[in-house]
Amino acid sequence: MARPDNARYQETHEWGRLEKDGTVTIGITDFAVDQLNDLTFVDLPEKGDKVTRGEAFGEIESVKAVSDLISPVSGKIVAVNDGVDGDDFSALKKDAFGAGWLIKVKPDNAKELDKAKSLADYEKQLAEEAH
Amino acid sequence: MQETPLRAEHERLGARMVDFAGWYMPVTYTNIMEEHRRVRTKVGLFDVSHMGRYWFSGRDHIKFIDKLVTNDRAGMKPGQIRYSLMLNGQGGALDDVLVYGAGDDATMLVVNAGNRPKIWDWIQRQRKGFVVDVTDMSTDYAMIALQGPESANLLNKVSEVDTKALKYYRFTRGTVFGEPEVLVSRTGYTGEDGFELIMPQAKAAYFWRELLNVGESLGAGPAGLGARDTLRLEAGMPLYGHELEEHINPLEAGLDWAVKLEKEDFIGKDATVAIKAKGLEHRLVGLNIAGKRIPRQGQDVLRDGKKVGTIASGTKSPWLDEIIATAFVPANMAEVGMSFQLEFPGKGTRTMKPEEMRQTALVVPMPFYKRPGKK
Repeated sequence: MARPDNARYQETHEWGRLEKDGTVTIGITDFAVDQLNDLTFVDLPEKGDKVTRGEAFGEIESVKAVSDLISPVSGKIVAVNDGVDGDDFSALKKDAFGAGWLIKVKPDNAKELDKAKSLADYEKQLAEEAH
Repeated sequence: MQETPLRAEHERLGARMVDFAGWYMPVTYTNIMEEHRRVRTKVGLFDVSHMGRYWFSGRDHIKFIDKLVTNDRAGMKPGQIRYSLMLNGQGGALDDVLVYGAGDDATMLVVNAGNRPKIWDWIQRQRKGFVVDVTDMSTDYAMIALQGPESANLLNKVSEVDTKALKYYRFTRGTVFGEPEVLVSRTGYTGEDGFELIMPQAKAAYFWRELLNVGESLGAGPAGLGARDTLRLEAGMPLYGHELEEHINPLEAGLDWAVKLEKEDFIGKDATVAIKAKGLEHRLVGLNIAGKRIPRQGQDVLRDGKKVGTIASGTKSPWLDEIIATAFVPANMAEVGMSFQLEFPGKGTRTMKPEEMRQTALVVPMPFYKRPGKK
């Protein structure tokens, strides 16, 4: 799967993309989905909830482990993806950067996203983790 | 990190590799569900080379083993294998091991990978006064497990071992892929029929590749540590570090059958007798949990809103498609049908409706899974 280079990436494998309407779409990368593998549960927040950069906005669980979902920006949630709520992971597995998005946030400051990694730096991290 | 002779094979198969107790091991090749089902219905191959294999011989070696382990070594027939615990002086489990009795000549202990240095050190500290030779054969040899209903058929295709004559928890030596003297045991950690092969380290990759090649028509495939854990938990088998730890006595873990208190002596016997006389405080139980969340090791087990116990292992059972767990609870609550609560606070709030944040856990009989036809 080609990872979009117009998104920013966190070390913890979330991605965030600034959309034309000024919102930030947040998801987890194909690498995270692949590593988690046997997914059993996703716990997402409500529309209207606040998120804080660097803090958990939800959890994703697999047979082996539970991982926090960490927001790359602070702001207010304007949409939550019904397609991945609960225990249906097909969208996440097929299209982590498209249909598998998790939440959309109206950011307090969209520039916060720049603190996350570029695609090149994220892929460098993945290459290092493979060793 | 340490690695087994099969590292390159795992990588070639595209395995996800993880650090398991200091070992670079495959956790999955495809996914847990598929590998688990393969073992329950066909045959799966596991690399278990990371486990320790210690050989004992010499005049006093049987006496020495009987001091180290809770089960009875002296009474074993040649070619017999027994599951056993090794305890400290307080009756806590240092490790759980398989004891292979090669008649009067020798004994092998197979110990957990994560406990190898500790157990090796413990053996050296206890051997004073015994005429015994102990050899660490772990790295000279590799170990591959074939598990599942087709494992005998697979072994029959590649070996001269009489699998019909080889009963459960027995071992023999035979020719496999033309290699003589391969140690073949009818043992495993999955709740299925199966075998474990111990071959020279240099032959391991060849055995692995050829078992996969020859086994293809039987549905054979590799299985990783992920499936190994879900399989053993369904089968109610303890995992050291979860159901067994240094502060846990085997009676609490329900392993009475492997502790021979009538034996003259073993390390931890007096403490175990005292624990038994006093009455157990906690016991291990199997739990079936409503809902979708998996309880994790260390999580509180509640009754009437108060913490009464602790989760040892939890998973989503691939075979039952239910959430299952083991937990230590007060002995007077360790009965089938008893109900407990588990809390899952959740980081989001949307899918976690209040009723989902507290789940009911019911004590059910263990094992969770028994293979068809097994008593």
